[in-house]
Amino acid sequence: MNLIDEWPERDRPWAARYMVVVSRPEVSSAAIDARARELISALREADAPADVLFGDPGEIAEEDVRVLGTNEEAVSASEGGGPRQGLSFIGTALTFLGVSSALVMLTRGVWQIDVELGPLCIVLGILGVSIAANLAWTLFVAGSTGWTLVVGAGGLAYMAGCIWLAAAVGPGYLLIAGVPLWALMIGMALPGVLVLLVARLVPRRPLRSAWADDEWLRRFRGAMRSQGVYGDVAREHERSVRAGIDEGEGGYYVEFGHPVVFARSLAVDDNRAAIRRWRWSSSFQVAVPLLMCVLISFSESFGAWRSPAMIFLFVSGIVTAYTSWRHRPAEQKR
Amino acid sequence: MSLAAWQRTSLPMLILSVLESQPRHGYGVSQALVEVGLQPIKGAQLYPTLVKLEADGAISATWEPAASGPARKVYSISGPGREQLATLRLEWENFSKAARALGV
Repeated sequence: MNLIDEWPERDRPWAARYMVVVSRPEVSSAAIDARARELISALREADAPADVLFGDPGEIAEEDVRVLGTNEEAVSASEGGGPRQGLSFIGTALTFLGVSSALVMLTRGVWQIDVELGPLCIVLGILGVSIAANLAWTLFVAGSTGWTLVVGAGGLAYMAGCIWLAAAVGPGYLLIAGVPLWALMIGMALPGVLVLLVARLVPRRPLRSAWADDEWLRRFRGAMRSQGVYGDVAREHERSVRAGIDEGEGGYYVEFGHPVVFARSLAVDDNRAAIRRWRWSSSFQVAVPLLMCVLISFSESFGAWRSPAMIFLFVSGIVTAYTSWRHRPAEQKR
Repeated sequence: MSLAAWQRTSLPMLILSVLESQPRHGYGVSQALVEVGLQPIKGAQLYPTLVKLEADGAISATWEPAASGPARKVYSISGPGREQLATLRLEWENFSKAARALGV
């Protein structure tokens, strides 16, 4: 039975709003379930509507996030938290890319397509570089800076190879004639869906608990970088941590716990890092729709859908920029 | 709630109280808590709290060379930190008084 069905009928809109706000990466689903059951039994005992008994659902959910949220859960649930989370992230990105490309093909109104080797190389290049970019991001979030660079460079080299091959082959090298559009659309969505299916099969593992000191420090440095901590502050943290380990007993993991969790616990209250993280995410969220808008303006693929698509993407970018600006972290003077 | 949980919740007040008498390094803060019957605190909890107190201006930190081994970071309470401690103590006393009135 769905948990939302256990709420009294009249309180379901309240419950839905509460669940939306409380469902954050740092709050585990077990903690949300337990808290929701507490609220439901309180409602049954009091026999009063939720808004009368608890007040605003957003406010109580925010308070619950503060109490129930942990850095361990946030790191564990992030795309860098393990193979399952990483694969889910990559699969979602690929599915989005595949489905949106398939929809673009649909707008052309052509139902059979000749597959040529040159364009296929470019498509495979884009697929490969997308996988590499998403994998590099999961490694960056997990604090593995070295591997991030290796995978990023590998992806770019692969893309360059595909472009070179496409240029060498040239246009007109026909592989298969008259492939039905539906088959191509399935082919485009398939890689992402397959990765998502594999992610489902991989069990979610607890965070790693065995660390050599050198590796712990490397991950800690990388994780601070991915959390937006400035170099001077990160160096000061590292120096303090090194001094702390000389004073205490045991290794870095014993004293400070998981390196990414520890880095996050330091970065959460770091105002400069918060502003930097906001800049990164806002720039990305605004740049992507605007860039797509520009690319579509040069494309002939969209037919009659070109102008509506451009307007939609442009408005999305502007609305995101406005919303993001309104939620920017305040700069604190020290 | 366990002693460790109470300690975690009231950690900023405990740290400021320890630093009120004299400046200490991180391990020294943990040792001072153990000396009065509290539990030792791992760096995972202690250090982020010290960083936050420092960012809030409640404490300041300086590096001091150690007699042997690497330099140590020594924390001292500041003027705003003493004000913050007074406020926290007042809140704690009010809470304790109310709890005692309930027979706790």
